Amino acid sequence: MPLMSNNGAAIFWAVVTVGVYLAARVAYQRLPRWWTSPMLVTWLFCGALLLGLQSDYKVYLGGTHWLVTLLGPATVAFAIPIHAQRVLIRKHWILIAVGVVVGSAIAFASSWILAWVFQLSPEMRASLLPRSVSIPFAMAESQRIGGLPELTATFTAITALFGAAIGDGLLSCLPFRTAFARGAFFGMGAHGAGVAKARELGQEEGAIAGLIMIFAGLFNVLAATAWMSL
Amino acid sequence: MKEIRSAYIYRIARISFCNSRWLQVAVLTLLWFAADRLTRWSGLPLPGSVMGLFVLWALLETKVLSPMWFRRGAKGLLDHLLLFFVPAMLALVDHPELWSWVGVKLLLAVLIGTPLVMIGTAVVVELGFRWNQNREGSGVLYASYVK
Repeated sequence: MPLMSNNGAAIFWAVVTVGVYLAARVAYQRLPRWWTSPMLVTWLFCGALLLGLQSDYKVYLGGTHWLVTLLGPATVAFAIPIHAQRVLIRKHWILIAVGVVVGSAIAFASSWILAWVFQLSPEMRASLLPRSVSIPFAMAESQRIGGLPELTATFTAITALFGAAIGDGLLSCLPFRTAFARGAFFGMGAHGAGVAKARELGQEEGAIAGLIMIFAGLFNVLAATAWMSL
Repeated sequence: MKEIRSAYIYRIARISFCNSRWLQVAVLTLLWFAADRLTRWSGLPLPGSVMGLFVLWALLETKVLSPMWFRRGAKGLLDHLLLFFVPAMLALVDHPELWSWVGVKLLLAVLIGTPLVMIGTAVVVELGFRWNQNREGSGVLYASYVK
């Protein structure tokens, strides 16, 4: 991996990324808005610094790829919330399954059609397709269907931020009366950021949003795996 | 006397494990690593992390493992999930081709597609829930979900 001279830079980037993130978290607690989201702030800050210092992305990744590696254990950790909601799952598994399958189908179809309308290359289309599921699953899926996982991460994050930003406004002019629909709305449309929003609406909304998000991720990865091994 | 002491040590170890986020993260990492190796070795096409999720879920459902052993570690990892993507998202600086029309089109595709997914999913789930309630003919559960 990186040369000796790059070790200092690698440590610098690791410290900057984690440091900015922690500071942004504190700021977010003071002022919780979608545009103060720690992910957005860290991303923009580190991006500006990378471009400003004309630094090589490979050096940056050399210092921070351990963070990406943590996505593996974090995905495994999703088993805990699934287990905690087992009563809800057992009771409403059909509804959750319908939401996940229909939501994934709409996400897939809309991405495909928009990619066709905008005449995007197959590689870009494949990077765009998994954007509606939680990022660790989206990146795994993107890799399977011939996309670029790092671009998928970006599209997925923009989806989450945008979905969370417009969610409340959209919801206030739509007649969804059940906690289920409101949870599915945020969990499918804006995954991670949406689940946080849904939790603000209520406990049931939050639980449903979390389950829809995790199962949509699993469903998409399994479907992509099955499709590619045909 | 010796038995009492070992039972005491076991209890202390268990309590401190249930309270240590870092130890639990380490165990979750080990689980992921083992699952990853296992899927690669067995040639299964699944990502190792997804395999690890299924294995841990199965172990929790069969009560081989207790969720108490992982609750703090899992919460810690999932709370900071957003940080783990930042390095991947910065790959954008390595893709100058996106700072052009292609990038604008991609952004538009995301901005148009997201509300479609949100509304479409919620409509289907709302209708499914109401249909289910009508079929069962009990308004009790429904009422508890209405805000």
